[in-house]
Amino acid sequence: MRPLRPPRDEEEPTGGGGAPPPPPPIRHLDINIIRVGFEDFTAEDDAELANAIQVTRAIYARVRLNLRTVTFWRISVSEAAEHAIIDSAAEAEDLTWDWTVPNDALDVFVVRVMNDADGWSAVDGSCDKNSKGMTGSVVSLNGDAANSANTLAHEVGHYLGLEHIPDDGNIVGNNGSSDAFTGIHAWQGVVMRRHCFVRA
Amino acid sequence: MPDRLDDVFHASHRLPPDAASRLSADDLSRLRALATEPGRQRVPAMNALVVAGDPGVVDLLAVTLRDSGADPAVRAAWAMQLAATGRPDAEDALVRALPEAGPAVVRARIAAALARIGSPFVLDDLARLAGDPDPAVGRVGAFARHVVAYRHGMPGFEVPRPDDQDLLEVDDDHAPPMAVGRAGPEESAATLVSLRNDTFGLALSEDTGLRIDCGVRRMVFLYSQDFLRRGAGGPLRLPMMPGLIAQRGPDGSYATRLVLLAGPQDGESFHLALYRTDGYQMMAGAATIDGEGAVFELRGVGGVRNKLPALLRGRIQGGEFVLTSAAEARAVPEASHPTPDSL
Repeated sequence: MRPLRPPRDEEEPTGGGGAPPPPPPIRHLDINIIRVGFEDFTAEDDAELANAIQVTRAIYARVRLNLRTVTFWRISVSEAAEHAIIDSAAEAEDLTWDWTVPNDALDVFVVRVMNDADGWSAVDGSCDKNSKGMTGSVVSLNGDAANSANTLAHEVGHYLGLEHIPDDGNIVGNNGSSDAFTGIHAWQGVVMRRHCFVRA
Repeated sequence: MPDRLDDVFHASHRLPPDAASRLSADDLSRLRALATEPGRQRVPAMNALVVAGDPGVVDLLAVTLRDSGADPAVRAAWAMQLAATGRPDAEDALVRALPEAGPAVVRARIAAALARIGSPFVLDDLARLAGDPDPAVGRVGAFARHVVAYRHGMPGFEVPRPDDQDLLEVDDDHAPPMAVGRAGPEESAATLVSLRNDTFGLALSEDTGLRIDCGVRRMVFLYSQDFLRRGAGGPLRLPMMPGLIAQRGPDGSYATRLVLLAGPQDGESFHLALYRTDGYQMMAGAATIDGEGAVFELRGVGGVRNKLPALLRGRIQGGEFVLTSAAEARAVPEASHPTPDSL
């Protein structure tokens, strides 16, 4: 588990002689967006998903984490079967257990409806997608556009190591009830940029 | 000034129980309106009504579940919410919706909901679902029939026994450690509270359980009170559900992950089967009765989506499971791959 308090050191050199430290180099994250039960996605759903990706990219860019390649995948209604909706964290784990994109990007499963939550993700998840546990993030389109955007940034943030914090306005803030928040701390960028899915 | 319903619509994970308990009559009225309108807020609104135990929630859920023009994903979600109400009239609402269920996801979720709350009266309906041409509906329907029959101690609905060649081998020497210990009353009780009505209709004991730590996963096996009362020190004459395994989610809450079924095999032994909640049989085995209780062995069952190379050996004594050996393979083999797509 990651610490709740910000790490005290950046991983990059901070310069010297009183000059402001150079910004850390930009790091890159590739993700697979997997629409679960894709035939039932409406144009409105797709637009909401596209917006969520755009907003997440803008949030992460503020901490020099570049959402670089977003590759799209689909699971049909008949393949997804009952997992076209998700009812619990256990079912979310079943979904990530049963399905894996065979590449080295983070799998993000998108369902249209989820009971009892807007999304689920491991905290500081594994980069071995065949390992046990939740090997990807699962997000829903339960809420409005702003909420769905937060859900994507929030759950991917969890996978990359972020835990809930009390801060109002933060993507994982308000102790997890982060609604449509888009704020992000520099130290959270440091945490995420250290994850094994993030590339130089 | 913050809206009183902020907690409902801002929660990214499970709605805290105290947030539901603070809802006023006006709040519930607003939520009912939101839950019945097509819109993005209907899912969290309905979830809050279910958690709050709103008296009219079964009727609200039933109307949309039977509406063939409604979004199939919402109807499927509502079927599960009906089970989550824990209300006796939910079963009737689910059965009445079956003739108009339509899409496979709705039929599968009605079957899954009936597995959680069904009485013996739904066995005929579940038999029809078990014979559904859609494989997922058939799988969940068959699973639901097993669960209902075992829970109610009804013979004649035995789970399929895998052949020996379908049982998976585990390399004990290279398996990651699996720590199993007794869960005390505090942990068992907290898990039970977290499960809410996700107990597959079992009256579970809050006095004792088993804690299973496997890698990053924490699970708790909760015994059914029926099992603890009857024990397993003698021949098992009728099928039963000894308990279930709940897994801790990333937010610390628990959800049911696996259910355990047990039934008579012969005078000296009984069969055991561990199912995932979507109806895949994950492990199978048997227990042999001896002078002090029974010794058991469970192995992972091969299949398309459900390969869990794992091995559990132990004893049942004094009405409890004591594991003597537990091993689980490091990786999940052969996951399915999604198809490339574009948005």
